[in-house]
Amino acid sequence: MKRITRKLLEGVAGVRAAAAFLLAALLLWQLVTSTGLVKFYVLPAPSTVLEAMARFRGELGEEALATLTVALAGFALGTVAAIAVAMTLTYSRLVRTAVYPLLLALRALPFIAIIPILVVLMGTGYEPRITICAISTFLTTLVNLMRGLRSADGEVEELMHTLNATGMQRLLKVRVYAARPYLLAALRISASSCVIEATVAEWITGDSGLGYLVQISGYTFQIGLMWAAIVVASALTLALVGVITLIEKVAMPWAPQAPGAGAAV
Amino acid sequence: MADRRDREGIVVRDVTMTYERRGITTTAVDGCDLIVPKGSWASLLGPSGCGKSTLLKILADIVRPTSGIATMDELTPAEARAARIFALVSQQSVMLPWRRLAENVELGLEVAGVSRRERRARAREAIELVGLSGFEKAYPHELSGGMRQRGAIARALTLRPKFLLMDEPFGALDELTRERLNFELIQILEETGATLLLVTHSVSEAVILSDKVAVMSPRPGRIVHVASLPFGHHRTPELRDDPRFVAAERELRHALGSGGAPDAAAPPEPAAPDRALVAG
Repeated sequence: MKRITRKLLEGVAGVRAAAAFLLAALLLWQLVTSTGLVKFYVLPAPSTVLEAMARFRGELGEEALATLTVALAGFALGTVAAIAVAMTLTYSRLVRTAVYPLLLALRALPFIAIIPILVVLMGTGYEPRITICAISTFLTTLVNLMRGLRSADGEVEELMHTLNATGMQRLLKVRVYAARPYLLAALRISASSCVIEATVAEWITGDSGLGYLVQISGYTFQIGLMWAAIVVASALTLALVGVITLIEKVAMPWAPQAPGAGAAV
Repeated sequence: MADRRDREGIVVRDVTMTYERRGITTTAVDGCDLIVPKGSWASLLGPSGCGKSTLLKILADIVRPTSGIATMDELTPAEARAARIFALVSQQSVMLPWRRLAENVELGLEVAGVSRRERRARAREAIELVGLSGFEKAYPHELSGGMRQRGAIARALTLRPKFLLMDEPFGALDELTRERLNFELIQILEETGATLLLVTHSVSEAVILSDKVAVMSPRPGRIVHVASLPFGHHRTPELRDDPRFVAAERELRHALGSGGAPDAAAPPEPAAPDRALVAG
């Protein structure tokens, strides 16, 4: 844990510079908008957005919770399924040759386009939204894990071979570790794409969530609230990615620094 | 009984290894014979691409020869691997990056199902023997190349192998480190009594570490000369000043020169079938 604390402290210096830049950008934004040169519905002032955030904090919190629930549920389901399927595909050549090309082809699917189909199938509740998040997480994670599980290099395989290791020992002592950077890279991508997909699905299902709030506030011309919802959605994504980064540091203490290892998007 | 003793140690009889790639048949090893008596030290010396590594990989059960017999104490490579009587140390010190040094050293014992207590004790002993005490908790990326190679040797030693198969174990190290490790290895071999088969392209390393040096020539890989060295097993760095050492070096250089192409002109060792038994 000491190591992690130190890393966090090292990060603080960088955070300071970034915060200074952000503050400057916000000030400029405020200046431009308060001169009246830009119409408020084109670009509301940061103060307007902040005001909306404060006034509608109850609604924002509620809808953020709905979006978070969808994103996390889909993320978890997709990840668990990807791990199970990746193991099966790794150990069964027959299943791999039969199924994997199909799964790869599925990645070409524009996920967002199938949300209406899911709505027809499942209604407008959480189910279609969780499903779409789960499908995209599943495919991203599966592809990366398949790569990761086979990433142990030939020399390590040779070593395990001469040590007379069983297949199970190779899996547990080598592959599971070699796959970890790939898995975490996939989780990082999935965490942010889940929030995007949840939000888009909420536009379509139109019943709850930040995406729904963006849409409704647009219709009712509450531009401040609209922007506030977007800010909260971004914060949600950042928080999720932050959690993954933290997990990365705990799960891979051997890594000199977090590697962006071979992520396939 | 004399006959039985002849079959102990490493016996390579008429081993040939050919393979095809893009329709071209390459002979990596051609009719090689080699006997390394139990407890003695031998080197395969030759330029890159002469098949010396292939011969070692045949003994380590990583590739199977096209024809011929290779045994260690009368066991085939596959049987020897199952009985865990040999250990392989390769040029790139193979370490699992997610394991600390001590955990890497324990790997072989762990795979063999040795109890945690015994593992600890034997790993500590091996780490001490290679002079890495104090670095048990370091990750491989925190160690130098020489230290990692010592770690790989320590891992091999924990298994108390009767046969130590080393494939250019010090090839990636600088000259000074290499020489120091040569003499450290001699001490370790003296203590453990293991039989050594070393693959190297360094003439002086072959002389320092061998009772017998087999010189190989490339395409096809053949043993063209065998030199016996009279230095016994108690060797110190002063050995290099011994006139017999210098003479042995000259003899081997000459054998290399007449046997095959110079090192620089040789193509890299063919790697295609090397992992044939490992994959899958």
